[in-house]
Amino acid sequence: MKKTLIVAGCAAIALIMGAASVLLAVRYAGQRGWIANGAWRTNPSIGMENLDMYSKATVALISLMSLNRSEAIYYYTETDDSGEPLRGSCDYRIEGEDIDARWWSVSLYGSDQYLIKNSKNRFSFNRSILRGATDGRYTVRLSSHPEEGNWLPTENEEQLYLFLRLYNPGSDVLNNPSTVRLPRIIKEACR
Amino acid sequence: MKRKIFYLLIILCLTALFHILIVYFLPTLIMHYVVYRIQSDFNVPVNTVYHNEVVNADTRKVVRPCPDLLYSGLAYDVSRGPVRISSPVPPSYWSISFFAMNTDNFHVVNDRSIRGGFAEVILVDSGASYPIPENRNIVVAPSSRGVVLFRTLIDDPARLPLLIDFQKRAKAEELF
Repeated sequence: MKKTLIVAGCAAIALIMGAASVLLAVRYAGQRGWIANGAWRTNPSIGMENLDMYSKATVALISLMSLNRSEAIYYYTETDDSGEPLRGSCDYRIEGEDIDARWWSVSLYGSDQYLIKNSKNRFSFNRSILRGATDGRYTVRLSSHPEEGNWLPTENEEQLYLFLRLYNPGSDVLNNPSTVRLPRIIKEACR
Repeated sequence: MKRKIFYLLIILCLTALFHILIVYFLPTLIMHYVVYRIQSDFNVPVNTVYHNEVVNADTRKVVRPCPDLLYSGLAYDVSRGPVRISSPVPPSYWSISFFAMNTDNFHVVNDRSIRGGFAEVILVDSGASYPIPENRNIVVAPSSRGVVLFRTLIDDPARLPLLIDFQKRAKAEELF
């Protein structure tokens, strides 16, 4: 009886340690293959079939049901251009221009990785924003306070995440994912 | 002392074993959970298309939902026979993506790859023991079960009613 309990205890400890080591491995080993472009990061392997088991586990945890790169490329960031975490208590200016893709959009998420509830029901900006731009450039502001022009409410979320989706990316994006010009994220002020 | 070292070695060996098993099976476990949620949340059986509402801050089935897309989908099961998946193609970016139980995106069709404004795919099992229909739109699924996702881009909010009409005409039929 005592021996059975000891073996069961060993198995339970091993299960907890095994699960914890998976989380660590996915966090660190799963970062392989990621490409940086300014504040943005992407993994061109997302959605592909030839991933190793750690990358596959990472994709299952953070990008389930993602399309392969010929269909869509995804960039995400949790920092501004200076590398500081994006905070809802700060105001940011996002400056950009058109990107070589059939369609692109940038969505804003809160600490829980879901869209941020706000009275304006504004969650993203996309290529249509260029319709009002005279020189093909745009500016969007992230702030918890109402702003003139293009504004995404942050509602004082502790951590913000931005997700850039490019549908049917062009050759410039496919061939140069680390150098193609992406929106810049500039911190203006914090409260 | 010897006994303590013995148990420590057992713990280390089991930890390594659990580590490999969890990493290997994690994607499949997550997909099983997704299939379960599709069936319970939308109250639909396998091989039946469900339609999501327009994404907003209350959409919490999958992290980081895209607010610019209309989502529909189905949990497929082709173990007993082929499944026909079809949809009219809307005048916007649109795709059907097929995911195996290990999360692999094994096939995609989009609005640019479809001629005639109507998409049709006959999904069959890679290990099918049933006769495969003669059809040029056959797609072989590497796993008997999985998930199909329809994405329709809302490129202009004014066109939302039109796009929803297209979205809701997607369907799946068991051919057995």
